[in-house]
Amino acid sequence: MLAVETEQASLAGALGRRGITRRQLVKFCSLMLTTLALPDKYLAATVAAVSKAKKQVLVWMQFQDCAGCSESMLRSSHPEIADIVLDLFSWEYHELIMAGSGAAANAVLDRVVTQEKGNYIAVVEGGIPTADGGVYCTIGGRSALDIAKTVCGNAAATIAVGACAADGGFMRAHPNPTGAVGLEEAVPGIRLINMNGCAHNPVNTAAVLVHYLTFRDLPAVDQHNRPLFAYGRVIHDQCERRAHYDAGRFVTEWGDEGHRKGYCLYKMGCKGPAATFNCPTAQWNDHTSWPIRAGHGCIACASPRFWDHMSPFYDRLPSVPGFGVEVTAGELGLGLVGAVVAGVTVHGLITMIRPAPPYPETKV
Amino acid sequence: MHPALNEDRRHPEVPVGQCSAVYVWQYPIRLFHWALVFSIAVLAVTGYYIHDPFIIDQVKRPYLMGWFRFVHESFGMIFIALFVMRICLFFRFSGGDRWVRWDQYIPLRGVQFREMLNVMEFYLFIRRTPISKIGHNGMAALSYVAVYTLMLVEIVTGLVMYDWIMQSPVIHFLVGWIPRVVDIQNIRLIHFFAMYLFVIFGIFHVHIAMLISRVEKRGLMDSMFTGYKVIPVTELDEAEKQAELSRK
Amino acid sequence: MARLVIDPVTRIEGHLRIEAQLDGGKVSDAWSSGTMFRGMEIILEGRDPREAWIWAQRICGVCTVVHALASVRAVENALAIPIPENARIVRDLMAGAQMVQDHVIHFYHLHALDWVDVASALKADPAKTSAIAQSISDYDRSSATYFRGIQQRVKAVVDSGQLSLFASGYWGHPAYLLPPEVNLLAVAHYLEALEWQKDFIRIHALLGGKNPHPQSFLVGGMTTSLDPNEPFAVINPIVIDKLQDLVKSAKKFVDQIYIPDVLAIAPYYKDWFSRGEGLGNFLSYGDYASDNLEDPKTFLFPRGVVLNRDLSTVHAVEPAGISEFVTHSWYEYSGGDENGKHPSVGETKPKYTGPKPPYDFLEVDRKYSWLKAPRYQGKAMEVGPLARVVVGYASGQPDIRAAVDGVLTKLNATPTVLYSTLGRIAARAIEAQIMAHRLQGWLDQLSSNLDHGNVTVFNPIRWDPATWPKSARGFGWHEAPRGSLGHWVEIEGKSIKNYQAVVPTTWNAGPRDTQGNRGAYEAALAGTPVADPARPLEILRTVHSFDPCLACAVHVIDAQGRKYTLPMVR
Ligand code: HEM
Ligand code: HEM
Ligand code: SF4
Repeated sequence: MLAVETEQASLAGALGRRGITRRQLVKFCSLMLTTLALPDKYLAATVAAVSKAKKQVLVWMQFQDCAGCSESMLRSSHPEIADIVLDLFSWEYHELIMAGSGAAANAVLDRVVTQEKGNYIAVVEGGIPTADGGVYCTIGGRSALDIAKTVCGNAAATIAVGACAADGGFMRAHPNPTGAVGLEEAVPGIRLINMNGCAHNPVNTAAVLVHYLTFRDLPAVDQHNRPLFAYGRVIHDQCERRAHYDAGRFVTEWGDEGHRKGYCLYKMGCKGPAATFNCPTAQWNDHTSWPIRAGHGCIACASPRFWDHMSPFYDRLPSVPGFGVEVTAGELGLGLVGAVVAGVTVHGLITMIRPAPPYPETKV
Repeated sequence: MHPALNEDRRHPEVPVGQCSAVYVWQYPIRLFHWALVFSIAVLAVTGYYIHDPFIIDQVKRPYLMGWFRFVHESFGMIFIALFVMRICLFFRFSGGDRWVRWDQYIPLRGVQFREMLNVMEFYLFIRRTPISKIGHNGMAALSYVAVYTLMLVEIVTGLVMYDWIMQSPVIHFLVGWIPRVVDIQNIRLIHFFAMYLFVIFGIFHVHIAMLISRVEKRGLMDSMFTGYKVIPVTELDEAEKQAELSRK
Repeated sequence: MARLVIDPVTRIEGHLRIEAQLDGGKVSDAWSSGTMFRGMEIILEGRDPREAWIWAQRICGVCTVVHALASVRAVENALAIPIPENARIVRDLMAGAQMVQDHVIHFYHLHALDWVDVASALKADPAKTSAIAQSISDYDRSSATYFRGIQQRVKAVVDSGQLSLFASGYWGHPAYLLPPEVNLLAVAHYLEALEWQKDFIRIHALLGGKNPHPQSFLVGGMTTSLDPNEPFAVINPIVIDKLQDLVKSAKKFVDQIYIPDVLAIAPYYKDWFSRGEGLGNFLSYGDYASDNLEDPKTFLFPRGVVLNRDLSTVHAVEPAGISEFVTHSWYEYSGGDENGKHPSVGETKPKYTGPKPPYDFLEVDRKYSWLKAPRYQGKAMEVGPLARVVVGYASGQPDIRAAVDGVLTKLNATPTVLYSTLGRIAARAIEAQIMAHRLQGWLDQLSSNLDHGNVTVFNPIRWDPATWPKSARGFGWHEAPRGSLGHWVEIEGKSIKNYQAVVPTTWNAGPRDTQGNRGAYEAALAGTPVADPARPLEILRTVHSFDPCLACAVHVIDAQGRKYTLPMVR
């Protein structure tokens, strides 16, 4: 009984201090549940979890990255990024925005890893180079791999945000000069969830964070370790241009009439049919838009190893191994058919001009 | 007299009396063959449209891509049924199906390899005449093994893409693990490229069928329609003679 | 003499390490090292040049349009594709929006904590803060209640004992000089800017689908189809209205918050108008042509070089004058590392010779960075907002002249104060203001084109690779928020043979060359006082004033300086 009261007191107090009304909080939580595709019965638990007095400790690591995923997180609007980093979590380490540098920063990380061992969340952005002893990315003189092993190895859960952390991203594209890999390969056996995307969509990452706060667990995942709620459906099936696809109305040249009318981008190399992601429904930057709406085909940035598998981005199909972008599969196929027709014709002609063979034929 | 023994079908140097019309391809295999040819034609045309929608018609046909995909996927199912049927025929041991049994195709006996060599020599103009057989020669049999493998590849890749769209639990159970090994785009590439391989096979196949038919004059081409080939009695073995007698 | 190491340098993009030699409480020498390498140009080889921008864009997620822009320009230059006016405007709008947003984020979120003591804000009197706020700006959120709310929010965080991002700060450091009231003002605007930046950048979502990494560039134009009557056109009157609101919010934020804050904070740190001066050589490629695409002198930011702080002469930029040294970089040159390579024969062969991690110190007399050392006619150059403003001021660009003179009058100072740590901050703010206002002009132009049925955004002549020459070379320049950026591409057949980028932070953060000449950071740090080596706030101030972006800088970095005709910067 007392415990409940204390809990509620802290809830009310925490809310009041943050200037958040209970209604706002409940609204936010139910929004999160919708993103996560969870029923409303979890609402109370969610509300209680996000308003805990002691905030969940979180560290955000950047390895071989472009900081795009950090920037993407900064664009979070539900919840607001300030609420996330100040109120929902104790966001202790994040090189892009944390106050202290050098020794001060390293001290924070050391403290979290030792004092919060097994309790903190690690978010990782960027790939991990493994070639040549990890010299292609060092922080504070330590290799990224070394740091990842310590930080993720001691975390309660690790969230790999972005294509690079999930599978090595573009550094890993052929010929992978730095031996980059994703977290799953770099530090096997940890409790991990992949938030593929280039960049990750903060709506989904925030939902996973809230899910963790509520259930102390990561949401259900698919075979690539990506949360099903966000990566379970094909983009093509949710696309606003889909009716045009079914009707056979396609953009055939950039800027043509079909392009102005918002026809389907299939012929321009759209990878929507090959990609699973909630990009069309979650959208970006406070639900403002998404790439296909901006008139460019999908590049399937949330699919595993998309840099190699989904490129060339302006062709529907990948290049035939050994031929690069010089010859497409269609050209190659037609060429082969042509060669065969020619060969067969010549063969037929030669047979025709030879006299008929004697009968009976020789036996084997 | 059996119609297959007509003057213009059998070799003019072999008198009718010395020939026998052998029922080589029973109707299931002929049905299979022509259904296969037809479905490949439909699948190739619809598949090519899916690959590159060449008709952009916004007014008259409001569901064009939808129809092409529907037809492709329906014929894909027919194609699978045909494949399954053919597999059953491989293992049917009754009656005259002996020429399409599995052991005719898998080169396990030395004679099959010798046939291959011989046929290759014929194609390269080293030999004047091909090997004439009642069923397939070793080389032909091998090309059909290749085609059945190609069918299997096309079916599996097709089903992976189908699973991507339809989320059927059964299909997902069967092929859902594949994109983990070969990513979906390469699946698509394989599926697409295999179409050209079917076309290439078709060209070779018809060319060779015509070629051999013309040279050996045993009614090879007709046989895929009627089922009968003209075989000199000297070449019939005991089993065939029995069958021949029982039919008379 | 003590060696001070700052690694990681935080509140920057990427992985930067500073080693500094301290002598009598001052930096006597400094070394700047980039500690990450990705190998972008190696990866781009053999790929379709039309998609190079999608890859190159990932060089950096902070300045997320600039590499896309430089890349499409390079390929368009190689294939000789002129782009339609609308495409130029949309690109300018996106790049300009990037600049404004980036400068705001830099000032508030990456740099402010070097000058603002968050803890001290708790001691402030909100009423006084409110009075200060109202005296410097018309911004509407300036009541005492508002500032009290902010103060309580900060207090809640501090009281919880879990200080989040602020846990590692240098609070109470003697170099913090702002009164509590101004600190509170800055903290409020830190939060305000955090909210504004994500709203404003929806301009990229509207024109590019998303941010970071908007996705609407094309070699030959943009995918942003225009149509006054189509609801599904990317740009139609409804979208124009939304863009109008966003551009207005940019002007408001910069005019009413950013500029007044800079002017309010600067006077407390007058010393920093003479610290961190650096090289004194400035390079700007120039960018943002309004109508004359051919003459870089008429650009919004003109092209030119200023040497030794001599504002009387602006030298022309010679593309062939760029050369690169790897004497102190972890690369290997076939003819020996001592000689700077003329970039036309440039090479990028990574060869790490540094200490095996984990290490304590780098071998700074040998090779110590993943950045090469670019030099212009043998000289180290500073690039960035300050370089642009200096070159623009010296060239007499009217917007820049007016803005600089305005700020200098308010601060009661001469142009020489610009060559400093605070000068860089001021230049950045000036530039953000010029740009925020220029956005409006472009948007109006776009809107009028739309009304008049000028809807072309793409030039299809060279989309089909069959129309390409057998081989082609080109380069694209852009003035990114952090300075002069160039991409070089060589195309053979249908694929990329060679791809190189020379980026702003390489100029600024690069190591020494063979002669031992320092890079811009290294030079600017000399003489910086360090009150407390455990809390090297002063060093961070100067380094941050350059707005480092290391991911850009290391991936590297060969100019193919063969004979090019002057590129058309669009
Ligand atoms: C000879 C047999 C077949 C041929 C020649 C063929 C050809 C094609 C081609 C050319 C494509 C377009 C590939 C692309 O560019 O993306 C395609 C797509 C497809 N095929 Fe087939 N196919 C055959 C059999 C099958 C079978 C047996 C199935 C099984 C269901 C199947 C299911 C599909 C599906 C689901 C697609 C994707 C449609 C989409 O993207 O919506 N196909 N096929
Ligand atoms: C792409 C189209 C075709 C495919 C995939 C195809 C496939 C096959 C297959 C798999 C067999 C062997 C049946 C078995 O023993 O299991 C076969 C045999 C045969 N097909 Fe076709 N076929 C095609 C087109 C044609 C056409 C157009 C003709 C006639 C004009 C034809 C005539 C024959 C004949 C005569 C045989 C028996 C050949 C022999 O004994 O070696 N086929 N075909
Ligand atoms: S635009 Fe892309 S995702 Fe949308 S319907 Fe067309 S192919 Fe599918």
